[in-house]
Amino acid sequence: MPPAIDTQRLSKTYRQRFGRAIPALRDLDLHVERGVIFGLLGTNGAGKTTTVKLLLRLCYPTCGEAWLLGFNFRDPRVRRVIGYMPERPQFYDFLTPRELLRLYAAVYRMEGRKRESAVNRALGFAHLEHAADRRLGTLSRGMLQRVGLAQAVLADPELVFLDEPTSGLDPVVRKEILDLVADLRAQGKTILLNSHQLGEVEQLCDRVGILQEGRLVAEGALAEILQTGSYQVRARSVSPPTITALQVLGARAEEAQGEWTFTLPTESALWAALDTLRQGQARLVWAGERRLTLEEYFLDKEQQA
Amino acid sequence: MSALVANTVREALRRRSLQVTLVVSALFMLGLAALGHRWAVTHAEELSRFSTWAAMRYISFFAALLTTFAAMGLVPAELEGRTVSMLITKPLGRWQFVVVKFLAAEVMVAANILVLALVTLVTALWWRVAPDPAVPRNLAMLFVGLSTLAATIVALSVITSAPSAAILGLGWYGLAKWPGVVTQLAASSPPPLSWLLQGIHFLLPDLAKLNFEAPLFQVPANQVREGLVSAAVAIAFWLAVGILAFRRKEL
Repeated sequence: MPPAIDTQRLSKTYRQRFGRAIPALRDLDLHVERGVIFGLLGTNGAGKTTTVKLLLRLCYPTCGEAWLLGFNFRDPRVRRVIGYMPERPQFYDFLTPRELLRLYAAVYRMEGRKRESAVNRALGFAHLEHAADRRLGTLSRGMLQRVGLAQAVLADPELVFLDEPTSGLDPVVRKEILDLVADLRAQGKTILLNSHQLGEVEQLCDRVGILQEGRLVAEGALAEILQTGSYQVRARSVSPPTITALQVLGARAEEAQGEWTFTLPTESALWAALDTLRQGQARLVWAGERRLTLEEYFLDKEQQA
Repeated sequence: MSALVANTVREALRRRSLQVTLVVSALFMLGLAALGHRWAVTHAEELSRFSTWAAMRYISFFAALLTTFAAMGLVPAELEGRTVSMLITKPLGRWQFVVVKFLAAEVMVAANILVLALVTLVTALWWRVAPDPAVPRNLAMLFVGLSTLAATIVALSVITSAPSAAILGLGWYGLAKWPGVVTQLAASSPPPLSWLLQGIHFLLPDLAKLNFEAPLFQVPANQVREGLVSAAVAIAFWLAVGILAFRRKEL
């Protein structure tokens, strides 16, 4: 089965009036398998939104090719199997969510019962039943984001593009939107998630890619890229002789607010350290493989650049 | 596409500029009718001829304004509101988007002509004169003429701003209605300019042959046919321009 997204040397250069060229995306080779949530990360201007716009043919590449679900991205059939929610979805504010979804259902050439069933399913998915007949112009930002998500899943797409879906939302609404995205994953959809919110990307995504100045500088499964190959143990009430014994095992020791963190090079050293701590009657807080947070990984990549 | 056309019309009808122009046009026509009734000649036949002549001129003037107001904002409203990206990422071709906007403009042109024709009918009843039987045919010709204006403005609004599209579109329509102005200018101008004007004249649809403002003068049927063909070619040309421009547009 072809991948959900496959790009080959996809590039975009914007040209200003007097000929100045601004490269927004350079030779992007991206490969996203079906059924995963892929997080596209990057600072402002890194090329995230340009990537989505190119794939959706809202703008055109300077060179390169792309395939979505096996279709060339120029193929009009692609639009039947994808959904898109922009960062700040804009709607006709004189319509209600139900009328808007009916309008979009008409674009998908859904009629009669099929159309009503799709509209009701999308409203139900986004928990919008109670606001389905209120004018869009009177809805809050959070509700509009939900409408944006509802229209993106209206035709039951296999691939959904979400561009900063939680940008500018309060924590409660953000959680609601993230729960809906998690529901989409549970339904087996492939999702390309553009986001600045590293915490939510770490929480939701299976794989991530980092764009820097239009180049993909890192890409991989989240579980793999955050691995460090080292181990850590955190403990309190650690006596000086125990610290010395741990340092003999090769541990690097750091102390913060009475809690000691020992970083060890191998798993066997970790087990030996645990024995040493038990014998020294220290209070164990946590032990395990040391993983970077996505934020640490991202900042590290930014510094390397 | 009909759902999108209906939605576009619904959106456009909310614009104050269109509502105000329609009301002002209707009031202006009624006001002129009142003045005309006071000062017009007394013979019933002359009154009838005068009322028909005046009505067609008023309708064609105000309907052109209304068409301009209706058509100029259809595409820019979607571009500025960024609602277009929600549509274009769905199974709607870019060419369909432009055609939808043109069809919505057509619906509004027809509705505007209908409203103004009703005002004229009220005027005729007020003056107690029988409307000229040629008027419905001339209203149909007016619809064709204004369709070229709508297609021109919709296409130009893809390329340039709404006000520029309106001004250029009205200019084009004016020249198409009075092509003699261009030929006279071409005849009295030095070569590079005269060639340009001759080129413009060649591209202009000959709306004068539709004769929609003068139902009292009979135009030979073959000339009307030529006018209709030329208007149809102009509509197709401007739609093609709009579609090509929109296909290249980055959103």
